[in-house]
Amino acid sequence: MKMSRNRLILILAAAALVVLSFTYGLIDAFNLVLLDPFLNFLILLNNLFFGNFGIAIIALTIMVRLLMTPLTLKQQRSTKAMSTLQPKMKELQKKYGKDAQKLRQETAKLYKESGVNPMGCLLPMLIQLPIWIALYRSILGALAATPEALLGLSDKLYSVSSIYTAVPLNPNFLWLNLAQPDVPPNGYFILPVLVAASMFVLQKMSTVPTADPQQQSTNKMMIWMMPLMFGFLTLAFPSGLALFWIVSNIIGIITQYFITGWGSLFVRTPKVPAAQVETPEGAALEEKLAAEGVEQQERITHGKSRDKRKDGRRSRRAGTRKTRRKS
Amino acid sequence: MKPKVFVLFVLFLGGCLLLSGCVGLNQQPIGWSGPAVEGDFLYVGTAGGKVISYTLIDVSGGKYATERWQFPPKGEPGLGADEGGSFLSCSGAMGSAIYSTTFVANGTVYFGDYDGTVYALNSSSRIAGHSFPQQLAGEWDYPDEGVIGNIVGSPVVADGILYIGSSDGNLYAIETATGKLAWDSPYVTGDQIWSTPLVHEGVVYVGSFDNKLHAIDAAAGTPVWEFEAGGTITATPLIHNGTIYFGSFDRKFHAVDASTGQAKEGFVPYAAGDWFWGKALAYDDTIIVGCMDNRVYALDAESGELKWEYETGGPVSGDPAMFGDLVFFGSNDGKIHALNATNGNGIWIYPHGEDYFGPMRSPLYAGEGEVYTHDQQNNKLYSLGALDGREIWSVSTLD
Repeated sequence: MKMSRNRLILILAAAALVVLSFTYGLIDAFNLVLLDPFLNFLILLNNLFFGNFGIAIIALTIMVRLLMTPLTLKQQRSTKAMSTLQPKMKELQKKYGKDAQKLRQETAKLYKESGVNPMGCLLPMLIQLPIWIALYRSILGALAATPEALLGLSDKLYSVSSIYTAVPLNPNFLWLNLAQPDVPPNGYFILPVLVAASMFVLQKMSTVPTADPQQQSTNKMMIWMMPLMFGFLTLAFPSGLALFWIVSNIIGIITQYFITGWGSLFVRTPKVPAAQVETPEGAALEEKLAAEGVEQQERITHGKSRDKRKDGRRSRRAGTRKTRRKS
Repeated sequence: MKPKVFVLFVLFLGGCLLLSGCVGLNQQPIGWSGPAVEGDFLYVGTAGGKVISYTLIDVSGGKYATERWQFPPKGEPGLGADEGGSFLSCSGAMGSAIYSTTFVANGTVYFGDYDGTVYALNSSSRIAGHSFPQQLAGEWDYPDEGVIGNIVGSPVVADGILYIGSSDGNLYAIETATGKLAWDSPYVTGDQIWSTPLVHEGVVYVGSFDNKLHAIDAAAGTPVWEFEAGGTITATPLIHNGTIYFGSFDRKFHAVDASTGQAKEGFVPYAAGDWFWGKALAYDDTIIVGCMDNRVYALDAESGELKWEYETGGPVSGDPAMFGDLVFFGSNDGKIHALNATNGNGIWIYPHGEDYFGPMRSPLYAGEGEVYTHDQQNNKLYSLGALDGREIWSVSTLD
């Protein structure tokens, strides 16, 4: 049986993870493989940038984001491809809703015919998640906001003199104490606002247009709640983490721009009454929006020029206007 | 927006607010204030921002400790509660942790809290429950307005002046009689000071995060000399036969001539496997020190050669104590270890077996056949028999 190289790497990585987890325990294995290397590298970067920990955080976030770009792109493409299948999926559900086995078979057939892997967006996300957690925890760890945290840092440091003598790090960056939240009396609420704003833009850009009212409602909630939640969290978390979120969001925005342009950023979500989706017109609209997704998908795959992206935006705006008129 | 969605939205925001205040809990300081004893009274700082005084009672029925007073008084929030730590912090109402081990002289208790205020308390006024400060009774707090940087080290009083370092990088000298600055201005080092100062023959020695050990004229606040190590110095320096001993984050244990500030001739800095955090002890011609590499080292005071070493189950960061020829160390393995200072043989470990205290980071106190230790993570104060390690009494340090 022929096995693809990617699958082989994945199986080997999973096997290594299982062995490490059994040998060290899951948390220790996570620390050994991800957290400690990130933490020590972050301190090395801090030394490289003349003890400026803020720049070290920015540099490491950019590096990790760039390294994970292939995975991010794969995830975004898969998400988009899945969304284009939604109308057909709905049809299948309507048709075979009562026969679960048949529905499964037909769904699998649809995936196969469309060349879409339903795990395609999940796997890259699963791989990225521990890396982001490690990055996030390494920033928190290196900042050592309390005396206890500084004590706990010693056994995570490699026996390299430039690393263990560099700690504790200087937490001052611009107007910020990176170990403290950017809130009064010493802060100005600037970072919480920037975190929320950048996340809002990213959420807006990456939301795939849909005619499904339920999906629209979910999208709307996500667009507002995620930025608000992270904005609020930034009120209590060290500024170093907020800096990481802002840089990460900005890179996310840039990446997203090259995939979908400004996406839904300047577009109001079309309001479609539930009943309308059930009508042939509603279905046609859904098809149109889905086709738009396919169009974008093809552009990603074939790397078409920005002119076409503009065309896509024009047609999307036109679609939206049409939707408004209908509603 | 539909009413249901609106309610969900409001609930979500409320949850976020709550979460944003509580998520930082694992980042909250706990503190490591050790016990200090004067006469029959014991004093200790707590994780909730209080200082508690106990009366040590030794009667035919046995030994025990009873609470004498609390500052701030029982039922009131701890120090720093108004400042609330971080914005929206859940722990704001609890008060800020105390890392300082109190310095007690003539019934007056001196300490600094993590928020950055230095206090002088008079025991009689605290028992009487008078409002603070009773200036006629020698009570004060410094500074008059605001705070200095976080205080992690302990104060030391000599010749009517209190010396204490702060995370703002300054060493403060405060007149104990008035609570006013004794020098024209605080002594400025290059970085945070967590080290407890040592005062000897008119010179104050203190370590700093700027990697230097500073020797400062105690009366004038002017520099005498400074010695640069390869890493941060959190340890309280030890003076023994004219030599200052201290460990550093460069993982080396140093010896410096107290009069010149030069590295001690013939002493090779001992290189260990991790940072040195706590204070060393002298026993005859041996210097005994704990290290974050889980070990306790005994070094020759002249050459720095290793005489013996003892392994605990966790990093050793707290200051040790000594009683007779026994030396006691608290370890982050949650145990107190009693060793023979001559050869490093383990005498007893407490708690036994699978029982553990929290990480033992507080300085220990030994005297009158007992070792006092504060498990600040679990808010408990213990008295152990110095010779056999049996538990004599324990009291809660919770309000």
